[in-house]
Amino acid sequence: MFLALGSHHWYDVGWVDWLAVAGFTLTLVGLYLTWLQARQASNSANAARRAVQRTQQQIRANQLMVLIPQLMWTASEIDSAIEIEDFPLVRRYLNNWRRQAGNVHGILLAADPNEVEIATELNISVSMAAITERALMTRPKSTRSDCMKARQAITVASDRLNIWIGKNSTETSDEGGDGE
Amino acid sequence: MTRDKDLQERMLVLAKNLLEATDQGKISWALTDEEQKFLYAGSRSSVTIESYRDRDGDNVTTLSLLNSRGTTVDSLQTDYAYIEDHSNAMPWNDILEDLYHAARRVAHNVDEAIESMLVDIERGTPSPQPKPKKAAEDPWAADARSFGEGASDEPPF
Repeated sequence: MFLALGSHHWYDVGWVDWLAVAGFTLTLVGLYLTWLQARQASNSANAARRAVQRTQQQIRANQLMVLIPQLMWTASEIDSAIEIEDFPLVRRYLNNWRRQAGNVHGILLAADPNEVEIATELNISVSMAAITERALMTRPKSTRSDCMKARQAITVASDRLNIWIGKNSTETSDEGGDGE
Repeated sequence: MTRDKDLQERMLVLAKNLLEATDQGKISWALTDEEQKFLYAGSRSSVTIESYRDRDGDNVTTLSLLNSRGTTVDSLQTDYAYIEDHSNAMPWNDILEDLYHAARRVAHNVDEAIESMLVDIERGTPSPQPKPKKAAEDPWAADARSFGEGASDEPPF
């Protein structure tokens, strides 16, 4: 029998054998197409996830565009209250600053975790405000110089936020697809 | 303030790390509106170190941890354990006092002040001499000059 098989040449294979060869090729093509579809689905899922993240960041940036001007307003009110030496008012506005700056701090880091420097400046201003607020409460007689360190820290943080808002308000959001 | 043993130990680790980083010049402390309180702020939380005298006249040093809203969330302060008329200092007392002095030194730029003073002493900078008043600032000088030239015997007023 082996002798009989050995005597056959490769071109002697029958149509059934050719069908098997074609079937095998089709299987390979099918596998490739399946892999391609799976890859595309994975890419689409990643693109969708990135789009959601971008949208979330855009929403946070928009929130900051609203909150930061309010923070600026509080900073200018602190200045005015110090100028007229109304220290109970200074204390109240310092407290407002702490709360608002705390919110901005949280949203800022969520929107862009790389903004560590601005976050640190904000944190300094919040801590300084807390210290001064308590000092004004315990001091029997306060003067303008008792608020200067907090004022300075608030000015630095405000300036940094101003730059941030200037930079981000001119940036357009990336609404195009990834071409995937 | 800290009652929890684990939290107390973590605050002690924080104090040790702060002291080490301050001594190595890795972190800088800032002056605050309270004279004897210094601040070091990170990106999400801050610490303050302060020293004051309590009602008994004892020196108390407190390390406070503030969250991102400026609320004190925990603190560690010098303390004493009283056992039958004997007071034993807590093991962190020395660390807190060292940290306070290190923070004060950095916040006030004490090293820079000493360095510049040493340079001035080395250079031998003399104290500035008081300048003589200029004629424009001293009306009597102008009148004295004109008086000297024999212009008038009238007094200047």
